[in-house]
Amino acid sequence: MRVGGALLIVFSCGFIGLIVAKSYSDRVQNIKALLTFVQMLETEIGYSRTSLPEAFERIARQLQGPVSVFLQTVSHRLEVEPDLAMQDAWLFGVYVLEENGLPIAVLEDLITFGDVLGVSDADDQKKHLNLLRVRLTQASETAEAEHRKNARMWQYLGFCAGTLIALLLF
Amino acid sequence: MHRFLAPNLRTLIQNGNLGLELEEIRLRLARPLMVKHQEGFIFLNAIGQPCQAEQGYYVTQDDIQRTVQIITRNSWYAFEDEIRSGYLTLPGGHRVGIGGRAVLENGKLKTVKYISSLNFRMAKEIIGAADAVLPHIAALHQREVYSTLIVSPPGCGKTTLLRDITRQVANLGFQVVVVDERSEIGSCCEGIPQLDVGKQTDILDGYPKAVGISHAVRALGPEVVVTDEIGHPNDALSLAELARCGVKVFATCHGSSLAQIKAKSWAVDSLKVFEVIVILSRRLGPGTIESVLRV
Repeated sequence: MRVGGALLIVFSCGFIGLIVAKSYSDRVQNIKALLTFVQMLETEIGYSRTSLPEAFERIARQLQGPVSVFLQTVSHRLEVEPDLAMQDAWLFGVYVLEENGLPIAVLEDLITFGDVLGVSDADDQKKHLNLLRVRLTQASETAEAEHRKNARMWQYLGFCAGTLIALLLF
Repeated sequence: MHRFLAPNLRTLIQNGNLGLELEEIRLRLARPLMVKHQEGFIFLNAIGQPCQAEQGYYVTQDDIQRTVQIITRNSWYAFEDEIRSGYLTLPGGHRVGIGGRAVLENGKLKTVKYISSLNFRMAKEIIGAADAVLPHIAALHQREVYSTLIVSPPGCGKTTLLRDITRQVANLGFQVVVVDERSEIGSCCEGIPQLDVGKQTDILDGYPKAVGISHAVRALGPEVVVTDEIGHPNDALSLAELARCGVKVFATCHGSSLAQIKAKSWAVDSLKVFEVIVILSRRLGPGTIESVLRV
C-alpha cells in the first residue's frame, strides 16, 4: 500500500514535470510555425494577390497544430460574418494562440500586425510582414534558449520532487 | 448591392424602404448620403428618407473604411490594379468607383489613399434587349452575322444592347470573344462573368483593345469579336486585322447619328469594317432604337 502510494506520487509529479518541459518545446514549435505562416502569407500577398480569407484557408491546410487552428478560426469568422473587420476576426484567432501558451510578447506583436493586415498595397504589407518576421525570429531564439535551459530541468525536477515528497510522507 | 455597404449604411437604406430600385449609391466623406433611382438623385437622412442636403445623413470616415473593407474582402492589396483603374467590380456585376488622394510613383498612379468617395452603380442586365435588332445583324439560315456598330450618346443603353447581342449570338452557336477593356460587358469578378454573355463566349477581361483583339485572333479562334467604346485612331488597325482574318465585330461608340460619326477623323477607316449601324437614343427611355442602317 505504502509502496503503491509512493509510486503514485513519484509518477504524478514526474508527469507534471514532463508536461511543463513539453510546453517549452511546443512554444518553440508554434513560433516556428508562425514564421512559416509569415513566409507563406508573403508569397500569397506578393505573388498571387490572394485575398486574406482564401490565403488563411490555404495556409491552414498546409500547417498543423495551434497555428493552423488560429488561421482556420480567422478564416471561418470572416466567412460567416462578412461585415467583420479583419482586426476583430484576427483577435479571435489570437485567443486560440493565447490558450496554447504563446508568449505575451508574441501575442502583442500579432495583435499589432492585425491592425495593419490587409489595409494597404502589397509593398506596404510586405514591410509589415518583414517586421513581424524579425520579431518572431527574436522570440524564437528566446524560446529556444529557454527550452535549452529549462526543459531538461523540469523533466528531472518532477521526478525528483515526487521522490522527495514520497520519502517525507512515508 | 446593399450587402457591400457598411452595416450602418445598409440598415439606413433598408429601413428607408424607398420602394424604388436604386441605380446608384454615392458615399462622399463628410457630405450627405446620396442615391439615384429612376427619377433622379436624392439625399437620404438618418432614417433613410428623402430630404434636403442640409438634413442628410453625413457619411463618416468609419462608413467609408468599413465599406472599403467589405468590398476589398479585407485585402486592399488584392485589388491594387482595379483601384488604380478607378473602380472595382463586385459579385453580381455591380461596380464601385473610387476616389481619394493619389499616391504617385515616377509620375504614375501607384495607389489611392484617404478614400473620400465611393460610387456604387447597380449592374443593369436586360435579357432580350437585342430581340428587335437581332434579325438585322444575323442571317441565321446562312449562319452568318454582320459586323455591327452601336452608336448612341452616353446613358442610352449601348453596352446593355451589346451584351444581349453577345449573349444571343453566342447561344446561337457562334464562337465569340469579348475584349472587355473596362470590364463593363461581362463585369467579371475573379474571372467569372457576373452578367450573362452566352455559353460560347470567352472574355479577355481588362485587356487593352489592341492587345486583346490580337490575342483573340491568334489564340482563341473567334468567329465574332465584341468590344466596347471604339474611337481611338489605333482602333482602325485592330478592326482591319479582324476583317483581314474574316472575323466579324460587334462594337459601340459615342455619337448621336451616323453623320456625326463620319465627321470624326478616326472613323474614316474604322467604319469600313461595319455592315450594320444601330442608332440608339433615350427618346422613349434608355435603349430606344432610332434606326438600323445597312452600310
